[in-house]
Amino acid sequence: MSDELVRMERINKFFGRVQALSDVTLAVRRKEIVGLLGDNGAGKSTLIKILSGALRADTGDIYLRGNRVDIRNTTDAMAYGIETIYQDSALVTELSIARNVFLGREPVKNPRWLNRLDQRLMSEVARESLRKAGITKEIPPTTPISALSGGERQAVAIARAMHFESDLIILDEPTNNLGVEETKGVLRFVRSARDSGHSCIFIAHNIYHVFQVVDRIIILRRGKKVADDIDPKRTTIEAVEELITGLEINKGV
Amino acid sequence: MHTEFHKGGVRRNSIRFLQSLISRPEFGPFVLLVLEIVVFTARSPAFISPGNISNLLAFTPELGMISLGMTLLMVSGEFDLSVGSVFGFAPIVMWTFYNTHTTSLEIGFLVAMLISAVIGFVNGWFVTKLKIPSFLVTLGMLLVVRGTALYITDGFPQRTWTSDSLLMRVIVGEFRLADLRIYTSLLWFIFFAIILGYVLAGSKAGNWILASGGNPEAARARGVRVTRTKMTLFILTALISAYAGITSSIRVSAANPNSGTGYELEVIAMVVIGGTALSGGRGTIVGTVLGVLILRMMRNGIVLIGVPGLAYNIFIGGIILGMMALHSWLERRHRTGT
Amino acid sequence: MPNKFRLLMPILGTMAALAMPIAGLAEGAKPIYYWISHGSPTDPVWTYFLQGAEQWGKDMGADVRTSFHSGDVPSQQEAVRAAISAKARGIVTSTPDPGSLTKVIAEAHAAGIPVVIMNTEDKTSGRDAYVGGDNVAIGRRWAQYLVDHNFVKKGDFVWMPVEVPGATYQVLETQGIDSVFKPLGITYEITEAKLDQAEIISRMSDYLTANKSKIKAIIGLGDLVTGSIKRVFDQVGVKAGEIPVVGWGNSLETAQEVLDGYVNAAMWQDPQATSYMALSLASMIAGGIPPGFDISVGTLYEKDKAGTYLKIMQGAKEHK
Ligand SMILES: Nc1ncnc2c1ncn2[C@@H]1O[C@H](COP(=O)(O)OP(=O)(O)O)[C@@H](O)[C@H]1O
Ligand SMILES: [Mg+2]
Repeated sequence: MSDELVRMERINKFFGRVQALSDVTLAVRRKEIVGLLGDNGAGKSTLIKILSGALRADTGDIYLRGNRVDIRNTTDAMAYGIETIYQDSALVTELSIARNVFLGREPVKNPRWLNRLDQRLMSEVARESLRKAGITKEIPPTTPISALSGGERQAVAIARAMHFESDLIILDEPTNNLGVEETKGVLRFVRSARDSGHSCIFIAHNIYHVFQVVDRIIILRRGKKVADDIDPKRTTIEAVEELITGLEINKGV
Repeated sequence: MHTEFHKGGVRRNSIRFLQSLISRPEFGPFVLLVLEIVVFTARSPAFISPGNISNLLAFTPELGMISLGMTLLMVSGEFDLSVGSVFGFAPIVMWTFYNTHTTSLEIGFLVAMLISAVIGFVNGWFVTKLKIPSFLVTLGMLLVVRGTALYITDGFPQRTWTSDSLLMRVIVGEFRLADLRIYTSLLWFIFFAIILGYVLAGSKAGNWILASGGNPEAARARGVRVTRTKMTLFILTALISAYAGITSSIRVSAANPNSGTGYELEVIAMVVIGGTALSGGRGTIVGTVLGVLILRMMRNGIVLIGVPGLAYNIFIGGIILGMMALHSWLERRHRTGT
Repeated sequence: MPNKFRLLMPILGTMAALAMPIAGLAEGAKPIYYWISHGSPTDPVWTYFLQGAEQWGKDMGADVRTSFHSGDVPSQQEAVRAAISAKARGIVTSTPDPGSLTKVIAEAHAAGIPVVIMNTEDKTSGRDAYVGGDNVAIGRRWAQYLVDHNFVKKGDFVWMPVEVPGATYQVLETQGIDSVFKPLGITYEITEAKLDQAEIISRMSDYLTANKSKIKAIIGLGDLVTGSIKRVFDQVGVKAGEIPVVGWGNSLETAQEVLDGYVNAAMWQDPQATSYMALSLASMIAGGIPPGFDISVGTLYEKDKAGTYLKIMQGAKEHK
């Protein structure tokens, strides 16, 4: 287990009386792309929000490289190298691409007390990481997010996650509302994340997308983990669908 | 062939430069300001006489300073209606301390600034911690502060003194520059404008201010300390309003508990005319300085050319509506990505 | 990019169109006078003042430029300086705060422009002349009136509502009142009524309801508050004459209240005449005749004379 990056153990989460998660355990290895599947309301978002610091678990532990950690908020999570990309990408639309990429972690020039943004560095890095995230069109890093398409916005969020060398990038339904080409871009990124040394948790509605890019599939149903070790190369989409809905469990898994 | 290509490039570059100039949000206010100067000067050449320019530059820094603080606060997505009452209250505190021989003028000044900082802190605390809209919080604060000023003075103006204290000379000393009579408050205003302009556009703190107003949830998720940013700006706005009020009381030799009444709306108008979004996330100090000059010149100019006293506000209101229309139109164009 | 101008032009066009006819008046060789009020344009008495100024401009063929500053000292100082820049022949203004005009008056004098203060006096300001009432004396007269008519005696309490506490006139009037009441052991309280008619009535009614039994007399320190007495009495259920009232009487409402017995005596300050005389004095001084005097105005009128002032004010209103 030496190559295990993150382990969430026996996570429980209640919203009032609703138990969103019960005793869920999940592990992600280094350079592993994990697909997290489940019907609407199965608890996928809740689970990864706990990992990214947006929510706190009622009970359960989180381990990072074997050490128990306490993730109290999103800042903690980012400090531990966990980046999350949501469907609406959480960008500030009034600000430029460069300013969004570095939001909250702005590089400051010397002397530091002047608190001066290193705008040149920000622009260079933003341009570079946009290209890495699969944007071939030349977009100046000073362009405000409000002028970008949905896919381009997602690419900015991805570029941000990549630049900060996060060990784990979580994508919660990143392809919703995206066009065909833009979706391809996101999938290409997920596939390449492994090669650049990142681990990924990928949540998507479209099972075909998940099948195309992940190493392993985990399935949640009504807050419980029902499958943990599905290899997309050796199982069928139908089988996975049955697991998700819980209607008929195929023995071939 | 080569040189021709080069020339074309230069022309294209200068066209692009012009275009980028025109598409800046400050361009509209800038054109308006130039037109105002032209129209008023044509109507009354005295408008650009040294006497009138001195006159214009006397009061402008006082409202201008508040507008600078208000700009940052509004960019962060909040605003403050209590600035006018703090403007009136701070000098009352300073002069009361001095006139009752409780403290020296300098200590009185520090106490007034300290109390104002507390006012800003309370505003910020109610808004960020209790999550009450700033409109309601600062409206309440406006009444509390104005009421306190009236209560402690029984409605009487405080006596002010034109002594030759160093503090007073530093705040609003008078000096001549060629034919102009300038107050040091103008220098302070320029100084604050440069500092805050830099903070907003060039510093890390500025990025946090913009992000806090633009999308506070996203900013918070990225580790931006939204609450602390807004809190700081509420305190800054209160401090700068207090400072402006003290400046004004020394300059005009009057510390009336009612002074600054209605300034909050005048200042918000200045900031908004300068292109800052009422909803936050967008705005510049340059724009605000233009907005300040536009409204101040309008007020000065229409008295000078003799618009009937009762018709006064028609013009001010007209300018505000016109600039709002322009900004919203530019914004829509901006959003469609042209 | 010319698109941008398409939107800007109509706005600027409208501005220019508004500015044209007004500026047109200013042309020619008409002498320019500035009439700068510290009052509020929503205060009825100031509309009478304004009429006097406009009347004078018409009669004398002068360009009288008027502005209101609602007690905002910096903006009023700026207006006086604008008048200096415009090379006015004379300036008439009123004092927002004692001492607040001293500097600008010195500047006007340095430019050879006479300054006459109307309505609210500031003796130490260096002004050339004063036209108006003596607010301390007026306060004394009100207080004395109440004492002389045996409306108040030692230990009594008098309520003194005012629109905005802290205004110069109120400060001075209170001084005069205090000089009469204090030696007699009569106490008083000043309350804020605001400048909005509806709010004035509601605030005054609230106060009166709470303190009805304690209040032995009322002094209305401003026109709006005194003019609201009938409505406040009616609302609270106080009969005309049940509580003696004195105060300002420059409004139709107050004159009517005096006629109807709600107000015992009211002070008329001749607003049109004040403006008219102040501008005349300014013109006279500019012409080289120094004034060795101030002009004092103001009469305390009772039921018998109320009709006269009612008529003057009605006439002025129709005139508009
Ligand atoms: N903030 C919340 N308050 C109350 N219930 C919530 C909240 N967030 C999620 N839930 C509930 O928890 C369950 C899991 O939701 P979620 O994690 O969003 O599911 P998924 O992302 O798999 O569609 C659902 O029943 C949902 O209604
Ligand atoms: Mg979800």
